[in-house]
Amino acid sequence: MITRIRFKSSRNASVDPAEDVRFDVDTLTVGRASGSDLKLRRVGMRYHHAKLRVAPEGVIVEAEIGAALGPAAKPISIVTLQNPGDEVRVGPYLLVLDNPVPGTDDDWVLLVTYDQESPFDQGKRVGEIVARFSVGLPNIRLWAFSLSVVVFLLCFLIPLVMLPTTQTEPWMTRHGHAAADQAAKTVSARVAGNWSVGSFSNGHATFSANCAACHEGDFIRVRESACLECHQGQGQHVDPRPSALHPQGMPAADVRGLNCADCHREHRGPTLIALDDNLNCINCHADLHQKAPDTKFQDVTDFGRNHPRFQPGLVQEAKGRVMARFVTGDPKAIDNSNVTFDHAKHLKKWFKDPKQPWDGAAKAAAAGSDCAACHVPAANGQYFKEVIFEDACVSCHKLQFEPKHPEWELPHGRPDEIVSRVTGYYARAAMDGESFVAPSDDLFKIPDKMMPPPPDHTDPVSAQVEATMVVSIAGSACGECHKILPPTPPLAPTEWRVAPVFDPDHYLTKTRFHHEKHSTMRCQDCHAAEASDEGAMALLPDIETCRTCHSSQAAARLRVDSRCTDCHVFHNPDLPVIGKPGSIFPQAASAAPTIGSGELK
Amino acid sequence: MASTVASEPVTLHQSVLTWRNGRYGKTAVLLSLAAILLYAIDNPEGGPSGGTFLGYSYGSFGFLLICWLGWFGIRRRRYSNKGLLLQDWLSAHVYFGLTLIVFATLHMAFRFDYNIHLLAYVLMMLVIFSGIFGVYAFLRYPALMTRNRGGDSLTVMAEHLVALDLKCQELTLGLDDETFSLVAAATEDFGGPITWRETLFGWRTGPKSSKTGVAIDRLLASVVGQGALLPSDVKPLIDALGARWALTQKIRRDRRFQALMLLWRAIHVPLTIALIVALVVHIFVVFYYW
Repeated sequence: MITRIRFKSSRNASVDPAEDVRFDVDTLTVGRASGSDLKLRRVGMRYHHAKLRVAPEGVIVEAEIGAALGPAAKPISIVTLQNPGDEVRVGPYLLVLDNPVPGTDDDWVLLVTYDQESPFDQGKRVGEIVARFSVGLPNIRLWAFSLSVVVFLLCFLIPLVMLPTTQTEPWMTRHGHAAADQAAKTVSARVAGNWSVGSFSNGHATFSANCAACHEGDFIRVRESACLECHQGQGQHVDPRPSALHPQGMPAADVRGLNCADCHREHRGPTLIALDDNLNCINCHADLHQKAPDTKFQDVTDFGRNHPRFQPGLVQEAKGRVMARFVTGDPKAIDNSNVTFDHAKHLKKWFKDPKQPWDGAAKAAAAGSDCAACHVPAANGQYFKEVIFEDACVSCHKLQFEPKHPEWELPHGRPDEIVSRVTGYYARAAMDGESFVAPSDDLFKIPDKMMPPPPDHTDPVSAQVEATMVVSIAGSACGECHKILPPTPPLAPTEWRVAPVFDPDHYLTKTRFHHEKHSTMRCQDCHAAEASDEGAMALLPDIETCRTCHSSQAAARLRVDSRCTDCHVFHNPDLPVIGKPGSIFPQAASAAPTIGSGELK
Repeated sequence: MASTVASEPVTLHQSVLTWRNGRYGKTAVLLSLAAILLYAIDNPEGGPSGGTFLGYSYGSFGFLLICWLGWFGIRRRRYSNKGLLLQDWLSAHVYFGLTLIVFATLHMAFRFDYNIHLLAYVLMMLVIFSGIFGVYAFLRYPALMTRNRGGDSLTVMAEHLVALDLKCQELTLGLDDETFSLVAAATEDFGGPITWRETLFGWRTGPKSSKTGVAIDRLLASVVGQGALLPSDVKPLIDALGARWALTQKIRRDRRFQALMLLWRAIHVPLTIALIVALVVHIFVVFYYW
């Protein structure tokens, strides 16, 4: 059978008869392949796309394996074209059964029209590529607005609303602590905590987000009242009470104008809350004389360069515990503690003499210092315990008074018993038939001093007691260390008295000194005990001694950086409590010695 | 003064860094050195912090400076030549913006706690570093873009690409279905998805593992063995696919430069606005709980 294939380049184009092809076979192959009978090379055609079987009843179009006929939306695999006008889509082509060409012997005529279902749009394709590789900026304004809203909400509005400003119970109580702990774990506390400008100091770490513990109001600086809620009992810095200098009381008793927060700064991290520099002190003390012309204190700017010489307090009146301060080295300094001790002789002579009955050698060896044989550190590490006669002295100083009776000893610390005990010893000896040489009358005379009359020799016991009081008690036994006061008429001749003793545990009364912190040093590095002349201030170091190691922040290199508060206290525990004028801090006030005016320079 | 400056001759293509012989840079360096010197000699009670006189001064100056720097966003849209030239504004914007690193850090006195105040600092640093990148991008990428494009626009390059696609199709029509489909897939190959890695660092996947590579490998293999294609049929196709790949890479490079020159602003501008909000909150908070 003869089949004619005619071609149209598009639906609207006309057939070019010159391109007609005639086949005299029953089966035609259609595809892009070179060997195809009907070679259609357009995009959309498969290599072997279809077979045309020509039969008397029509042209059967059958898709090859993997190919399809018909529109892409409704693919079919086989179709028979019987009548003119019947058509089938093969890839981008339409195969239409056409009327035979007049004057030919064609059995079938197939019109092949190039007719893409979705024609390729080059411009669209270019647009797609441009769009694919164009950089689309995000909506910056929307992005900025959103971000700002987030910051505003998270950083401002939510903390403001959720800020836990009060605790139901004071945080200091056990329940308050638990509540604070619980509150700290809440989301609101975590959010609100972000307002904090820095973490808390060690002492206030438990505050958590309880901002109101210190911040009493909005836009108000932290006030003293907030601090005093907890910190009651802080002694004032300046004595507000009336005195000889200020009969009406000190006008600036509370160092007015200063707030707790001026020296105690919070939110500086887990450290001490008190400032560790001198500036707040120096602000006043650099020119204190101008601010308070009648002040007793000298101006000071720093320890290393400009600090007054030390002014230790020395005992002026032992019974009343009255002390007065003298500049170190002052030849007119007076110490009326009423007890004397020759450090140089003890350290260099007696302690070194093996014939002496001193029993402190083992103790001294253990501590590495002879001083430690007598001076035992106090529990607070600052100063030393009082030297106890029975512990430190009695091995050598037996308080004997009668050579014939070395077993007779006087009690230490009980002066009221001395006369009766001495009388008892001698009375018992007299009863036992002992006799003693009668004392000379001259023994009972002190030049330029009114003394009771010499004893009546008819009473040998009394005479002997009176003589003992003069020779041993006032001399070798008690007078060795104590100041002894003779009896003056109308007192009885035996009424010799041991002057009251006041041996303070520290002399630099305006400072704190920690001996414990200086334990790496030898005692003699600061206290010239072995070279002591036993003057009033013989053993007290001068400021230059301290300056060999300590200096100010700027004065010297290779020195311990020393601040005012290393030695001095701001809140004087001896003075009335801050915030409560007129009230006295009771414990400190009763225990403290009184500092007299003395001979202050 | 302003009119004198505006009437000075303007040299084209002068970098903002060397504008007016680096006048604003030198001023910024002097300001920063002065700030550092003052900080070094200042000895406030309790040590330096944002709450000292100097700390408040640095903070106030920094805040006003940030507001002024932000005003550049508005000034740059105005085309009038009144007052300083835009180049002056930009040069000053760049250099004075950098001084904020010094002023803000000294204002904070090197104390970094996790709170909203640090957030403001972090936002500011992000704004500054995005700005530094912006300066770098505007100094470096335009030249690279010009060299990469070779005078073509993106549209022209896309047209070239489509032409190459059509050429590939044309050359593939005589080949078997499998090869045809591989080449057809290769014409849809634009080098894979665009990743942040590529945008930021320029790392692109090579052709070997791409559809283009697969198609080329297939074509190369098809010239040997039974039923082999003629090398003369395959070579033009391989050439076209290679050219197509090279053009794709060129377009992607171009896109990367464009992205880098634009994207930093998507950080710089919104963070600046957020920073100003954070700063207002910061100022409010420090005085609210004084």
